Amino acid sequence: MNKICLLALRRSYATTSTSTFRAADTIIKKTEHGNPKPDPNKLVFGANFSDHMLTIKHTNASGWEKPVIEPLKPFSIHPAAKVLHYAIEIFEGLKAYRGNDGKIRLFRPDLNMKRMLTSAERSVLPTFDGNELLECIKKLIQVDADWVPRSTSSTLYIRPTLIGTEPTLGVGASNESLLFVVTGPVGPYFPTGFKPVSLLADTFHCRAFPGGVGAYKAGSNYGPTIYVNQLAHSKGCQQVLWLYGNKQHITEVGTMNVFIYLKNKKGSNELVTPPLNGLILPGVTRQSILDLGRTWKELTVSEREITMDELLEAHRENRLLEMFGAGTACIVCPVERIIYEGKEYNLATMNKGAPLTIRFHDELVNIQFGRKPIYLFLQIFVVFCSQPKRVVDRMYISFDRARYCVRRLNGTHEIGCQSSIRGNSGRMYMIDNDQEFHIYLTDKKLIDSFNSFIIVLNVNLFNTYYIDYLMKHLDKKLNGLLLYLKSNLSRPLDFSHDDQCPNNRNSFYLNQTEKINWNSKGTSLFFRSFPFPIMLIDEEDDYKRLIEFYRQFNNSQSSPACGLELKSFQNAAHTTKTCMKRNDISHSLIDLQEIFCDPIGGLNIYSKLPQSIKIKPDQRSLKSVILILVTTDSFQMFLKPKGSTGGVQQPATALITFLTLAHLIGQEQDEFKKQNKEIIFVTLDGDALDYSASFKFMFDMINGYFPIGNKNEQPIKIEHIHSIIEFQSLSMTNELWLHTHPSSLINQTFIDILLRNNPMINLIRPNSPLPPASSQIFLRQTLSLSFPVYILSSTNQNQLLNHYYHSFFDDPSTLSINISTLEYNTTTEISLWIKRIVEPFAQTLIESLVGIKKNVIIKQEIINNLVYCILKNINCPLIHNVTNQSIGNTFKPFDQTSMPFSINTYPISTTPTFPFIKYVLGYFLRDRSYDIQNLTKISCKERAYNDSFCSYTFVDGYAPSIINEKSFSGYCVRSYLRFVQSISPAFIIENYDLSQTTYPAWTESRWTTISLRLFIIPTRTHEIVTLIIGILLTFISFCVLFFLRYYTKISLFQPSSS
Amino acid sequence: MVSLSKKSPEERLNICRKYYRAGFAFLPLLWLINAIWFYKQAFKVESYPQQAQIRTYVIRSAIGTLIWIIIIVAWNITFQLLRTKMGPLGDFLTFVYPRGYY
Repeated sequence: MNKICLLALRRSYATTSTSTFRAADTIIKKTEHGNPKPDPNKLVFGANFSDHMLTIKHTNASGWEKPVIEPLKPFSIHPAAKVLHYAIEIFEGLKAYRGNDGKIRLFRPDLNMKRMLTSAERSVLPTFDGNELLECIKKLIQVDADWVPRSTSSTLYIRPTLIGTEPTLGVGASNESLLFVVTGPVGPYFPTGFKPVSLLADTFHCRAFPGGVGAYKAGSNYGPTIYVNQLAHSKGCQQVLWLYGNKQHITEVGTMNVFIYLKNKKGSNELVTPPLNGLILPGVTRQSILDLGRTWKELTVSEREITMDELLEAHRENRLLEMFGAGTACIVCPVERIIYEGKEYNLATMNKGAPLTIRFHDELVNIQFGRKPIYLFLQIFVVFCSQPKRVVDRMYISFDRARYCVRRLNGTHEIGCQSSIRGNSGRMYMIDNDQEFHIYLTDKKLIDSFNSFIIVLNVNLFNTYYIDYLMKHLDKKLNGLLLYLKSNLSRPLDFSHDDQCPNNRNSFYLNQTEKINWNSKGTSLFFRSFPFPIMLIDEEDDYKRLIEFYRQFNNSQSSPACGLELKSFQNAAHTTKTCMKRNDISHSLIDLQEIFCDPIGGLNIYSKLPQSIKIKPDQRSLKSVILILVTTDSFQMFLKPKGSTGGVQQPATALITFLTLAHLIGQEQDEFKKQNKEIIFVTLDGDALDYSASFKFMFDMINGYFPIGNKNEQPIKIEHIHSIIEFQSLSMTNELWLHTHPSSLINQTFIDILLRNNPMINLIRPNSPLPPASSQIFLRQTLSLSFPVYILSSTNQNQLLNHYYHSFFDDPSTLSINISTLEYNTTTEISLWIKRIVEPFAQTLIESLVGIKKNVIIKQEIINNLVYCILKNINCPLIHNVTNQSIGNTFKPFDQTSMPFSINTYPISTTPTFPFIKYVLGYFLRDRSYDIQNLTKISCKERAYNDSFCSYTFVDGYAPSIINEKSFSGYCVRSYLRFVQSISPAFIIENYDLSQTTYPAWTESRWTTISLRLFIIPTRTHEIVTLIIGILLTFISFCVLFFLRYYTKISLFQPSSS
Repeated sequence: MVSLSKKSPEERLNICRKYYRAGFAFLPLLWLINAIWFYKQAFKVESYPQQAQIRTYVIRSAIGTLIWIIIIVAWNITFQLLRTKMGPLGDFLTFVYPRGYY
């Protein structure tokens, strides 16, 4: 038995067992209102708990589920659960310590994990990879990091527990189990210094026995000890000294391991602890004391059996030095008195203040809290004497979260902002409203007193009138602009920097005799080139910080003034032609090629039902392809690496509608098999700036590259296109408008069915001007001769209904979504609205293509999930459901980020948008006959290898709610998915002259540092005084040197004569 | 640099001639050095038989230097003024690009 037990302990804690959960899959549901933290000085052990807990369920049938971190709550558990009857329970106890450096540390958690696994095996509970649990625990602590006391003595106690929860009464292994971890802050075990304990050495009761479970941390070891502990209390002792066998072997103290420090008969000092013979719990503190003690020269450490007789003999001969217990809770606990067989023995432990016990305690605590006593003095010396902060850093106050404006270029122009390499600086002047604006401009004295100004302007005043006025009046003195948003409530009613007629520059609009100002509130400021940097502060506390400094230093002329420095230096200049040319030039091998700008564009992704693939020599019939279009990009003048990118009404709503429709088509695929039209879903990226993605798409189609990928697939040409349906600028309006073109080709029955199915839709008179939409290019490139387009939009005959078109204010709040309370399955107004649009639309498609009337219904849940994933957190359960989990969660870095809608420069910049759309679209349009085929991972791979037309993904996330299957071990998804880079053909055609306007040629400049800093400009008097003092000091030092040279004969430059 | 006065007149002439000839290999700095270094020998010291030849070399070196200076300055001005107008050629002739400017 001993041998088996030892063998079991030696194994690695990272089991190679195939079944484990993965920390990377952890789903985190944070609580909204945490509990108040208790006073760290009044903590009672085990009485306070942190806000969150970790739970992981296991069933023998489907293995471990994904770890979930959720707010602490009671379990609901079946009364017949085995744990409640047969104590199938094991646990661990460890602590997280917050060091003086603020870092949180765990103390040898690998040992706990190892022990937990051996305990689990002994209790026939499922095992797992200890590393993964440890990672999960780390995540839990990160979530509850505030609960780790900021104290040198209090810690966060961590209690991982594993219980058997199968609701059957038979005594047998549990089929279902639950692993959970709760944490809670605990105070020091001895708040007022060491307090030695008295022990009752009980000769009748025993804690563990050979072949028992004493070496495992099972709950069933602890319950029976309470009675004995009560006995000890009644005799005035705090703990029980557990003895075993006829020889009264000493085993443990209470719930701790025991250590006895004595002078042995040979005269040397020996630290004795019982060996791990099956009766002793392999404690982490025990192991650490052994490891630590072995490094000290003055004592020998031995793991050997020790009896009561030996202890008492040493006591009588005054050889007993100290005795203490060791455990996670107290670390060490000195013993001063033992009651044995009715007699009291006062031990020598505390005679000299238990120096060894204290030494162990201090050393372990220092390790646990990450203190290194040797370096402590040095550290203090370095920190306090050398002041490692540079003066430069102390001079400035940085605003890291400011939004900034960058430079973009096309074939003929540059737009955006530019600062000098070292940043533009000037005196800060704040203008909040129209009145202040005019006061400032008439204050000649102020304007003349400084050479350069950085104007801080309320974002409401950021329009052409004020900007032109400022630029004209201040001219060269205007060195930069900083805009501020006071709070979210004070956002302007309209804010759009796009043109009044978006994308009008190269006459992309069809049949438009008069110019329609679709975006009538547009300022066109995005398309202006500013010779100075512009930044924007949109965080409320940043604004408060700024105004605080401004008020403090802007009282009068005589006091120092606030200055601002804006740095956003852009590499590219002039035109796309110039910067692309410079990208290519490299003079030699040694000078590295420098990149100045990157072409704008992302990926055009397209997918359809896999059943409708046309492989050569199968002929494709004319007018058999319906394209459904949506865009995936947007732009805004002011960027921010983290934070809202806007783009909710344009294009997110349309994208969600599009994906929902894809799901419905996938759901009703059996109907669509009955007819011969292909429906291809296309997402375009790059259309926000002059429709480059649509140009690329048409370019591909005309040249026979559509669909890309397999050469044996029949290409789709213009003549194969039946019609184009596009979703554009959907804004949750009560009415929608259907724009159609050209009138000669439109299918009136389709329109009639659509209008009948969805009364919300109004038809715009055919041949009216089309609103800004990708279809413009599809029509333009085919001279409107080949196919009809249908654009479903919230844009009426002359007006976009989005007040924040192409700006970062176009966020979820405009759709009356409260983003902080939006959960994965919250039904919002917008998701109900989308359901009302998509269902009739899918019905219309079935009715007009297949010819039958069918009521189609989509689960509200699916739209809710899409809304949550796209608008709040792209690392959401939906994406886990549709991806292969064994390659890991690639969306982890984008946790809690909404889908970014901005200008992309793929593949230089990475965005989660494309993988998200690829996975979700492919999954929604999968071949559903594969769902029920129960293919294994290997056969799924084989199929992928043999079939070069479709893609196969083995999806092994947790069982999606979309398919109702109880036991779930993954399944194979067969889908059709293609994607192609969407940069404008201008960059693809060889020797294309980029200054031509045949194709758009937008590029985005590269930049390195963006910074916004505030500093204090001293007054003139202050500067003069400083200068005079400096001159005086130099003069004095010269005098002193001269004096010394005159009176001492030693010259530094010549060796002394001796 | 060795003092020329310590060298024999033949050696001086030899050095001066070598510098003068090497300058034709597009090395105007050699001519410049030649002109300055031998200026004293050519015009200031007491005359000696080789002085006439040294003087010719020095004068020719000086003229060469002047021509080079004119060429370089002219090119520099042209390039600075016309770089942006030269288009691709201008960019190709640029070694260190002015980042952020055309």
